[in-house]
Amino acid sequence: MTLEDRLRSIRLEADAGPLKASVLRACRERKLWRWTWVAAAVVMAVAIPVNLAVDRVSRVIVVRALPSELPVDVQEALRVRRILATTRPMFPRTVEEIR
Amino acid sequence: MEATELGALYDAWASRLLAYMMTITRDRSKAEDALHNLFVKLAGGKAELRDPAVYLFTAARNEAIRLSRRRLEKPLADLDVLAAPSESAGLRDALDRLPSDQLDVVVLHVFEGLTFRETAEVLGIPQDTAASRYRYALEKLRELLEP
Repeated sequence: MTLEDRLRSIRLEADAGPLKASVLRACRERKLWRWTWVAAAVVMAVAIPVNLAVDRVSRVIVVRALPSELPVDVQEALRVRRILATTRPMFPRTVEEIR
Repeated sequence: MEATELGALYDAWASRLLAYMMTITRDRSKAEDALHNLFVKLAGGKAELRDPAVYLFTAARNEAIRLSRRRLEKPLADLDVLAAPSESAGLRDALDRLPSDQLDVVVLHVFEGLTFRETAEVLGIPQDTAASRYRYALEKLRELLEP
């Protein structure tokens, strides 16, 4: 039996089977985290510009007089919405607003 | 990479990679950590591996070296990773006395069945160097086994 034959009679042995479940779970969690970050980034990328755009639009809403023929409860609801639409933002956005 | 593909890859390669990483880290728990990290990285990669043996053994080697920093001097025989018939027990002890660069070639070429080209690619050395390291390893083993 040559030295090479004797070498080939030796085997490297290790059983990775018991680790499989935890490794695959870690892989799934990593993937889930990645998609969570992607989703968060998309939401931020959409939500911030939309929010700013809506904020700009709400400042130029033309508030009309409430039609008197509407029922009282509807008039009240419209009055509240008009107040909300015309309320100034909590923080000034320009130097002119501060002045 | 999809979960089923990753599971199949794990079944096909994980035990071999774990054994190989144990020869580098000389520590089972570090090798298990390295295997864990390796498959988490693979999960985020592409499904098709062009040359899986070279790719996986290279990645396994890099991960094992990264985790172990330096090779421990713990003998391979203590790790229970080398299964040798009783008549080759002396040879197993002699393997521990090989220089690490020669042992790397023996492990990949003989125990893992890689060609010299694949072994050289995994180790990042020319193919001729891998072959000569194998030759030197055989000479050294013959010296060590001489009565």
